[in-house]
Amino acid sequence: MKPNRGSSIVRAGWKSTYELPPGLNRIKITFGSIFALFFIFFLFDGCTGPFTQGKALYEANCSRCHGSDGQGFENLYPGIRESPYLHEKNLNLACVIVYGSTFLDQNSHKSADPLMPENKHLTSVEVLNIVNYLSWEFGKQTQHTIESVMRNLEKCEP
Amino acid sequence: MKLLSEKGSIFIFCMLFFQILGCQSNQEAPLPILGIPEIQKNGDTLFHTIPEFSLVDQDSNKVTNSTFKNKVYVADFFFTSCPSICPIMTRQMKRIYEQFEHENKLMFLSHSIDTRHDSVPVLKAYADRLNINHDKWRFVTGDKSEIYALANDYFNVAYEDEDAPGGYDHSGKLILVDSQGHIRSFCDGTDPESVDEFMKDIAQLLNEEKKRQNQLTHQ
Ligand code: HEC
Repeated sequence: MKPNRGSSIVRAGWKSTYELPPGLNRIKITFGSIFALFFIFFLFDGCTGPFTQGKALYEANCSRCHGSDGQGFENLYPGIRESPYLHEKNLNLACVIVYGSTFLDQNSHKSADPLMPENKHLTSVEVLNIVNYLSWEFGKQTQHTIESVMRNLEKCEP
Repeated sequence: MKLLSEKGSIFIFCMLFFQILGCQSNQEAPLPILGIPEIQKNGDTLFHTIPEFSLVDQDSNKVTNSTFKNKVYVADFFFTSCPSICPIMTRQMKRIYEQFEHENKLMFLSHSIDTRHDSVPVLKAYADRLNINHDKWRFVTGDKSEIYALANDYFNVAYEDEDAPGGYDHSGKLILVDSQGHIRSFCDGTDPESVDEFMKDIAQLLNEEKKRQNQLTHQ
C-alpha cells in the first residue's frame, strides 16, 4: 500500500464528492475508512501520550497515596481529582508538591492526621512536569511554564 | 505443514495434561510450615512458632497470642506516618480484608514499628480512617524491643534508620499465621500480583483449618 497515493485520493474525494466515477468512489471509501481508523488510533494514542515524564513522576512520587486515578485511599489519603489546588488558579500546587503538609497546614495540623511528605528531591522542571500532567489529567488543562513554577516556589521558600 | 500441526497439537495436549496434573497435586498438598525448626530445652524439635507476645491495640485492648485462638491471621509491620512503602502495603492489606470481609476465622494484625509516635490514639485515628472493624483488624503498639524481636520471628526486618524515608527501615512482607502459630505463607505486600497468590493461600489455609476443626469436633 502506498500511503501517499491513498491520502491524495482521499483528499480528492473530500473536495469533489459527487463528481468521481463509481469505481473511484469505492477506493475513496476504502481509503477513507483506513484513514479514519488511523485517525481514531492516533486520537486514543494521544490519550496516553503527552506529559510522559509528569505521569512517570506522579506514579513514582504520588500515586502510592493518592492512587493512579487520583481517587485517594479511604479517609487516609485525600483524592486530588477535585482538589482546589488543581482547579483554582491562585492556589500554589507547586508548593504542595515540594513541601507537602508543612505547606498545606502550617497551623491546623493535629498529630493524628496523616501527613503528606516533602519532595525536595524534585527539580523545578520535574515539579513543572507533574503540575502540567495533573492539570491535563484531572484539572483545567492550563499549561504552566517553568517561569510560573519558579515564581510560585519562591513564594513558599522557608 | 500437516505434520507440523500434528506435532503442535500433541505438544499442546501434553502441556494441558501436565497443567491439569500440576493443578491437582497443588491443590492436594497442604501449605508448608515455614521457617527453621527449633530444638527445645527438653530435646524435642518443634516447627518455628510465633513466641508469646503482649501488645496493646487501637482500643487499648491487650493483644496476645490467645487473641488469635482458633483463628488464622495476616501480620505486617508498618508505621502510620510512613511515607514510602506503607501506603501501598496498607492498600493491599485492605484489599485482602475486603476479599475476606465475612470470613470470621481470619484476622489482621498490624504492628507499628514507630512506638514513639504511634500511640493508642494515633492508631485509633488511623484505624477509623481506614474504615475497618476494630475486632477483626488490630493495630498494635507496645514495647519497642519486643516488637522488633517479633518482626524477626515474622521473617520481617525492622530497624530505626535516620536515612530511611520516615526514619525507619522495614520489609513489606505480609505473613500468614495458622491457628497453631505457624507461618504458612508470605508475600511482598507492595506487589499486587504476589498478593493475589497470597490470597489463594489464605483461602486454602482457611479450608484446612475448617476441616481440622470439624475433625476435632467429631472425635
Ligand atoms: C505518603 C503519602 C502521600 C504522598 C506520597 C503524596 N501525598 Fe499528597 N497528600 C497526602 C496527605 C495525607 C494529604 C493531606 C495532608 C494535609 O492536609 O496536610 C495530601 C494532600 C495533597 C493535596 C491537597 C489536597 C487538598 O485538596 O487538600 C495535593 C494537591 C496533593 N497532596 C498532591 C500530591 C502530589 C502531586 C504528590 C506527588 C508529588 C503527593 N501528593 C504525594 C499524602 C501523600
